[in-house]
Amino acid sequence: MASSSTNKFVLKSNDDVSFEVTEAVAREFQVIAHIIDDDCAKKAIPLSNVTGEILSKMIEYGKKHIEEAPVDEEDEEGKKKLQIWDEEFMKQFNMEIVFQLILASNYLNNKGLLDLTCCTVADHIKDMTPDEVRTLFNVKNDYTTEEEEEIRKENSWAFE
Amino acid sequence: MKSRRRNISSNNQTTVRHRTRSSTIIDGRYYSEPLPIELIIEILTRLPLKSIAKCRCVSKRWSSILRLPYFTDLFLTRSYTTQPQILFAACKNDGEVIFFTSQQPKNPDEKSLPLTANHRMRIQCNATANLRMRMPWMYGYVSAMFSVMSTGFVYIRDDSVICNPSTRQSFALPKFRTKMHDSRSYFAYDPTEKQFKVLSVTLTYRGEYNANRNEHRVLILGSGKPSWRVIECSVPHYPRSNGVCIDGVLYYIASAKGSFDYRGVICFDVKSEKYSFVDAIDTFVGAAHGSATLVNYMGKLASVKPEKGSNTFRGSDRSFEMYVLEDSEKQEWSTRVYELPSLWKNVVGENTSLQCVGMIGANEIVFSTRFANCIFYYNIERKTVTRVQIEGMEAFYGEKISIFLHHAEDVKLL
Repeated sequence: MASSSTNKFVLKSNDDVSFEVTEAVAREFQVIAHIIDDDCAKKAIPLSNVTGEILSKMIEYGKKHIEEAPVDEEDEEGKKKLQIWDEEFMKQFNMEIVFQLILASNYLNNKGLLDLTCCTVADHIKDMTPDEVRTLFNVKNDYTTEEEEEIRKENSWAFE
Repeated sequence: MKSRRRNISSNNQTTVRHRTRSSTIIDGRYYSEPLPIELIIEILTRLPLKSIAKCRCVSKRWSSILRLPYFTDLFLTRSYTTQPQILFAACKNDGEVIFFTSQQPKNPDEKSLPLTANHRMRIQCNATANLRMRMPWMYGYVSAMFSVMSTGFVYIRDDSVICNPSTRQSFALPKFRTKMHDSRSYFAYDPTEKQFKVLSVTLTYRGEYNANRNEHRVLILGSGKPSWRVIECSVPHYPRSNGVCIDGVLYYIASAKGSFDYRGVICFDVKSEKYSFVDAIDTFVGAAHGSATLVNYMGKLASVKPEKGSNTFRGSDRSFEMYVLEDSEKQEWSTRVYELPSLWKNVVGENTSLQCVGMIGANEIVFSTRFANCIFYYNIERKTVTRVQIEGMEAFYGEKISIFLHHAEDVKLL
C-alpha cells in the first residue's frame, strides 16, 4: 500500500467540483478518514453537503495544518506561526462564508476548523446589540415588549 | 437545500431571486440554512460573559438555549480549563461586598506582570456588616464570611445569600428558627448528582462542650423551592474552620470527641450527607491547628500551616508545614516541612504578614497580602518565589478582602 504522502484521493463537492488531495490532507477530516479506513474510497468521495467553494477553502486549511504542523506539544513557535496563519486565513471571509465553513467543518468533522470558525463568529458578535445578533442569525424577536423590558433589566449590567 | 446553497455561492442573481421567496433573508444578508442548536452553542460558549448576558435578550429561544445544562456545563468546563480566575471579595464596613476577578496566571514563574482585577458585582450584605460590628473578633480572617465553589458560586454566610458574580445574580435562602447561639455554614457540591447543598451547623456554647446538642441542617439548591432539612450527625463536633470541597466531600477542621481541644478534620460526604472524622493527633496535630489553612492538593485535602510557634505566615518565616490527608478511611496523614529560601524574605518583605490562599497544581502554594494588592506564588519544588501585583485593589486598602483561586465563570442561572 502506498504511503499516506503519495496516496491520493479525490473529493467531490455537491456542485461537481473535484479536488485531488493526499491521504494526509484527506485524513484531516474525520469523516473522510473513516471512509478511507472502511475501504470505501476507491473512486471519488462525494460530499453531498459541501460546495466547491467551501471545500477548496477547507482543503487549503487542511493542507496548511499538515505542512506546518507543530513538531510537538512544546513547539510554541510552530503553534504561534500557525495561529497567525489561521487569523489571516479567516480575514478573507464574510460571515456568510464563515457560517458555511462552520456547517461544513462540523459535517466533515474537523475540530480545529470548527473551533477557529466558531471563535471568529464569537469575536464578530461579542460587541453586538441583541438586534444586530438577531439580524445576523436571522432570529425572530419573540419577546413581548414587557418581557423584553424585564430581561433587559435582569441583564442591564451588560449594556452599561 | 442543496440547490439553494449552490445558488448563493455561484450566482448572485439567483440569490436575489430567493430573497423574495425565502424568509431567511434580512437586510441583504443570507444564510443558506439556520445553524443547528449544537453549532449555535459552539459559538456561544466562546463568548465573554457580557455578550452572553446580551444574547439572553435576543429571543426566548436563545434565552432558553443559554439556560440548557448542556450549554452551561460546556461553558463552565471551558472557563475552568482554559481560563481559571482568581476571585476577590472586598467587604466594606457598610456591608457592601464587591467582587472582582483577575486571570489566574498559568505559569506564574514566567509571568510576573501585574494582573488587573476587574469589577464583577456588588451586593449589599447588612447582616454581615451588623455581625462584624458586633463581633469584630470573629472576622479576623474575613474569608470565613464566604464559602466559594470553584464552580463560580459564592455563599455569603451571615446573609444567607448565594450569588454568582458571573451572572450578577443573587438569591436569598430561607431562614430557619433555632434557639442556638451561633452557626457555621458551608457550601458544598456533589458532582455525581450535580447538586449544590448548603450545610448549616447551629451551635450551642454556654462555655461548655455540648456538641450533642448542635443541630445540623441541609438545603439543596436548584430543586424547586429550597427548604432546610434536619440531618443526623454521627460525629458530634464543633466546626472550627472554613470548608474545602473536593470531589463531593466537604472538609473542615473541627473539635470533637468531647473536648474543644481534641481536633481533627470532618469529612462530610455531600451526596450521602454522612459525617466522618479524621483525628489530627501526635505528629499531625498541626493539621488542625487554628493557624492552618485547608487547601486542595491535587484532589487530596492538605493543610498548610505556618512554622512552629507562629500564628500567621510572614516574610520573616524560615519554613512552613504541610499535612496531606492520604487516606481518610485509614486516618492516614503525611507531613512535610518546607524550608524557605532566603529569597522569600527579600521578595515578600520581612514585616509582611500573609494569608495562604490555596494551591495551583502540585507545586505552587499561593499566599496573599492582607489587602490583596500582592499575591505570592511559592514553588515548593523549585523553591522559587514570584510576586504578582494586583492592580485595581488599591481602592480597597484597609477593607476586608478574601481571595479564592480556581474561580470559574459559571453562567448557570438560579
